[in-house]
Amino acid sequence: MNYYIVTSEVFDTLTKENIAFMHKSMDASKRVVITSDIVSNNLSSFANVAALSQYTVDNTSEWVGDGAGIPEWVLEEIIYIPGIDD
Amino acid sequence: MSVISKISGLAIGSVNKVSALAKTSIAKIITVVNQLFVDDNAVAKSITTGTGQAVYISDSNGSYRVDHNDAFSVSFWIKVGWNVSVNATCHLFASADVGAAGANADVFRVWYYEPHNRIYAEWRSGSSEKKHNFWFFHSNSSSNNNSSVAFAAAGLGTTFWNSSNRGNANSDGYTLITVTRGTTNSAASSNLNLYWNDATCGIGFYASGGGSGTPNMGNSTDKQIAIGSNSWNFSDCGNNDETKYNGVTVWDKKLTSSEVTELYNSGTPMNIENHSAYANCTGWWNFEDTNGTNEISGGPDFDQINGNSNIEAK
Repeated sequence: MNYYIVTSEVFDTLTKENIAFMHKSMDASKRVVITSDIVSNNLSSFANVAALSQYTVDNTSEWVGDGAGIPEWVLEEIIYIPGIDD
Repeated sequence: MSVISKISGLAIGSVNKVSALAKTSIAKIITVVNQLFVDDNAVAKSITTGTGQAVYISDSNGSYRVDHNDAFSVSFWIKVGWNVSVNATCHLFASADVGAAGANADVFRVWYYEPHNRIYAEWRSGSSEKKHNFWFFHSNSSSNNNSSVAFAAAGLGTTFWNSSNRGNANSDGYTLITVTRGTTNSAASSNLNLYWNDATCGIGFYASGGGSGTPNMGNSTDKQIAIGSNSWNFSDCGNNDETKYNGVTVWDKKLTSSEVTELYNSGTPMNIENHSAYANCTGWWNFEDTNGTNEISGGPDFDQINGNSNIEAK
């Protein structure tokens, strides 16, 4: 898997069936994405789920409203459903 | 007119029988007294994380040790306090081994994932030993195992669950959430069900159950049970305003749909002593006193209600 932050515009161009996880930023302008595809026009990329989680903790107000960041287990287990979760 | 204020020993000694009519009246009075049930309060869970703000039980007498193959149900009334900006996980009910460091310590939990408008139910004993399912509420469609059932049950419409959109709730803004589980170590719809009030939410996203491996939770370790947060570091508490919980019950059976309807009681929290499955109720907390007393004799109290969490008017 590959771990990214992308703009919502880039997200719209991705192959949804290959996305395992997606989370909108608080202002919905960006997305955390875990996908099997390589996304070259990303804003940030991460080596693994731990690094991605830590980024959301360090920048929590941008990603969640309760101050806790996105835990690793959420990144690993909350699957994305195309068409339902967009 | 004078009233009788006392009966002398001589007089009471003369009362040697009570008429049948009087007996009937006395029986009615006893029935009414038994049915008196006060439900004025609820517990409000602080939105701040940590032990010092938690609502929890640290069981030490083994009265609550749900296993992976125990029939089990949990039910609670909830008045949502989070708003549309929570964009995170909100744990509603969670149990884990006492002193657990994370989600893998023999956990049973029910949580709401606001970013995708889902309620999850899960039990797990390790990162790869877990069973879960989830229901989402904003798709009035026959796809995904007929998600229109959950859509209708919740009544949220296409907007997510929050304090401005509580969906189908009673006149006080509370919804009864019930999860029922049978003895199979599977989260398939045949074994694991979710009810919103008295309505089934239908087949979960995973008709055959989600997860991996074979959870083996064991029942030798006492459990730490939390309301309104997870039960290991007491986070995932929502935002904006405190969420309130009332009438929390746990059962050692998989409640049937008719028993859930009975529990819903047309939207009025009930005296569980009057429920037909009362003998299977192993925990009942209605938060009418300051101690989080378990109304089931011998069971643990929610005696840890800390920080800004408190029992208050519902």
